[in-house]
Amino acid sequence: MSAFETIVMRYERLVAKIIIPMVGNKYDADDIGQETFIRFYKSMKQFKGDSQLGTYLARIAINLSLNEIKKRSNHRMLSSTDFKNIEITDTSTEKSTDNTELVNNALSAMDVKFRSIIILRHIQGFSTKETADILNLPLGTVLSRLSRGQDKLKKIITKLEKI
Amino acid sequence: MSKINKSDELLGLLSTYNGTFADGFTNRVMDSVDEENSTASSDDMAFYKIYRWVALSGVAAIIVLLFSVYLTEGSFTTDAFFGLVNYNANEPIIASLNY
Repeated sequence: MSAFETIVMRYERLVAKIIIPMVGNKYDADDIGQETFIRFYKSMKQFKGDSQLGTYLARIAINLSLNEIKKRSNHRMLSSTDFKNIEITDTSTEKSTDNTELVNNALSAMDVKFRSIIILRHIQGFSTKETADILNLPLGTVLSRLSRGQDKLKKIITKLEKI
Repeated sequence: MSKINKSDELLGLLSTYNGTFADGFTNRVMDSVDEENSTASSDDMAFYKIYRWVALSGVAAIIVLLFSVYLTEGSFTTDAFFGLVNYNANEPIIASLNY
């Protein structure tokens, strides 16, 4: 087994837990996940170990997810960012009690700038500083978006549970 | 009943998030990487072939040039190479006076 294969196996879950809730579609997420590791493979020589490998992969994963979301928005397929216009996917209409589905649906109804921070900080468990580094945002911005994002997410989940 | 009345409950819900790729993800990544490598190596091969042809053409041109110098001048001296074996320094002056 090559060292790279070991890295893929070790960080597969980390990358999945960023991309799947970001794009909200498991099939697209799989492709973006593969692309994340291929990008890393190509840029391995440039990786000097300044940051942790997980942080480095998270940055690639989040950037590729944002590109995908932007591409979708160009095709007018972006999920609504307006809380009043939540579009419920098939899985949620089945009133699934699965937390993962619930979180996926709630996150897909959130603005991407809040979504990315919630995912990195609370789902992935990066520190606030690491989240700020990954997203290349000031710490204050991350903290304020985190607080507002949590409030929004609570409201969305409460609404989804009522449906 | 709502699962999240408090922030702690929201954080608990988020921490139980269980996102995974479909089975065989690692194999798919390794296949993609192998594909990338083979594409890259075929690009390298094409570049090497072109480089080899250019290099060989250059060497052939140099050999032909040396051979032609030897045939016309009969030696490989610097003067022979620059065509100065039978050069007379007064010739240009005489030629310019005649002109």
